[in-house]
Amino acid sequence: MGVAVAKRAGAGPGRTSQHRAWGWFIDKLGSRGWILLVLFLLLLVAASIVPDVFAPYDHEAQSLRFRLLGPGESSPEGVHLLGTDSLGRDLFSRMVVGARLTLFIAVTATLIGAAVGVLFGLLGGYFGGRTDRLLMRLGEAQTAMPMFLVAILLLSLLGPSVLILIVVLPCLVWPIFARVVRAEALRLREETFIEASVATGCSTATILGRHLLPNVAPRILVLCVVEIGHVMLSEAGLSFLGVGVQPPDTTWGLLISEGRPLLAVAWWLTILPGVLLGVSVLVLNLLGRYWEARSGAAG
Amino acid sequence: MSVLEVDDVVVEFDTDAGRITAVDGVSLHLDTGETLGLVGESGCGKSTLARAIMQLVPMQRGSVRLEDTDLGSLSRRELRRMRHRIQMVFQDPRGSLDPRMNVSALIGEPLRVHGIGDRAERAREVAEAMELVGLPAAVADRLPSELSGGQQQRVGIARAIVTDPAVLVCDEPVSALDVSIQAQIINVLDELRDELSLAMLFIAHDLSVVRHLSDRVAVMYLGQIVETGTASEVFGQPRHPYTHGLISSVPRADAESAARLRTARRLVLGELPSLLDPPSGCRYRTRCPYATDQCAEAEPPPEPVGPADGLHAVRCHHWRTIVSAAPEPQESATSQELAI
Repeated sequence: MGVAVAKRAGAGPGRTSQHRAWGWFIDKLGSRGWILLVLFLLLLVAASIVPDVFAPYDHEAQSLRFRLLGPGESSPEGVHLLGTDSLGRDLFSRMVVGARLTLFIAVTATLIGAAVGVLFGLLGGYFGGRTDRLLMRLGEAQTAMPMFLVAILLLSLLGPSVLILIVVLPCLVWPIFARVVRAEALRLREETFIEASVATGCSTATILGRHLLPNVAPRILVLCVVEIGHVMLSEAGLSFLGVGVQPPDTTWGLLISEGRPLLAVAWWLTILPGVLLGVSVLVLNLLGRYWEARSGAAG
Repeated sequence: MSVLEVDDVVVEFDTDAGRITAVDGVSLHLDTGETLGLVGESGCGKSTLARAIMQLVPMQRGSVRLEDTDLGSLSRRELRRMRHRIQMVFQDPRGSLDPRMNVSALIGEPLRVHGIGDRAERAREVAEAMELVGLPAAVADRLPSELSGGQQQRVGIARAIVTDPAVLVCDEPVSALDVSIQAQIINVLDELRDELSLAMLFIAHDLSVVRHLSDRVAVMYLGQIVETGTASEVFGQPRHPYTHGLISSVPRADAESAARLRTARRLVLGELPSLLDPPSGCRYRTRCPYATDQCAEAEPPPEPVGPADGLHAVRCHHWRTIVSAAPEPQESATSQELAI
């Protein structure tokens, strides 16, 4: 590992050990590895759009005689690849169906957070001064609050629902978008082409929307991919604690939660959805960092 | 009629080290179809003056009148609407173009933001502008990074002229380019000026470029214009020791080159003083071989050289006594030396 790191990925001083670790992964992926990552994500997206194609059984069909079957064991219906849960429902089918809500919440919440963060970041970075201080203090204030606890509080008070999740989760990510976009906007506004567009007669809206935004878009995209993973984890955490998604809806986090009391007798109910969640987050992270590294090298 | 009148413009900046006056009471005017060359060393405030005229930096004092409209009195929106009448070409051709826009979008942007024409008309105008500046139609879909430096600057010029402005401000438009390309860009500007009857403020530190293009010349030193006049007056009979020094410092391949450079060294002593602590009285006195006590005490006002209604003016207490020998005529070698 050491050689590979020193050779390519961890190049340059000032790189943290975290960067080096990602660098090692990216190094292993080679130049085409991202295709595998994208394929995995496409599979997830496909599963959430047409779960019936992927799920071998009805995810709600119960069978008390064949509860807690281990991975690979069979019921009269056939082989249960990943076993069954305490009500005899096929775990694989439930994981496939759970992908939809898991992805939907993560993507929607991230996009909302990104929209808010990008807008604030552009405004703060371009105008600077008081606007900038106000918006950034707002972000810092929010970052300083333990948002996860606030989310639990809110969800317990208002009652858990998918809608409230989608309102609360963006609060976790918008400051990250705002910071990144602000830094880029601060750098870009000193560029001559921004001055040139003022001289041309562009309005502020045109400058923000047509000049700054397209120039920060690649970074936003990368950040989105990474943050979808983080939001996914947060949603899983909230659902695990019982304040997130409620049955009969299901997400991977909820599956983990449902399996937890049976961990000693049916490990697969907790471990397998956990692995899927972990792998998905890892893939999103890798893909984001991979693109970042590639675009950084190119431009 | 003057299309552009700049009156007593002062621009100050706050820096970490203190307040500096980058432009200190500059007045100038431009007539239709006329080119004014503005020369001076790096850091003398040329570019800041250009930005002040374009209303890109705030002025502490003074006014900029474009076609009898005081730009400083306009609201932001009104100013924005006026901008198609005054456009600018920047020094850094690549940096002044949005890296994510292709050539036709870049050139078409001024038309789009000023709501000129419909889509088809704009496309026609863009194609026309590209032809005027000598850009092949094939580059219309390219990004700035896919163009050569000369082509990038042609895009910059096309963008500046596409709205048919009255005034074009060129801030060192060729100094970032290869020498072989410079001449091409200069020729483009030369032709456009005649074709579109543009009033042009041409800023450069390269005197040969300025001489080629300018009807009139203004010489700037530490934020002030120290000498102004027609190109032949200023280049032929410079009155200010700084102007004379600048002109003499241009290397030329002839027999007097070495003598001229000696003259330049004698007339421009030492380094440019800091703008943070400008000299009292005459700004140039710290580098001037003719400086006297009077120069330290009083700032010389602009005085007309020759007839009072003439264009030639100089800011020097001693211009009458410094008999400036013209560095321009080539016939006598002794004329290169300066007599007091």
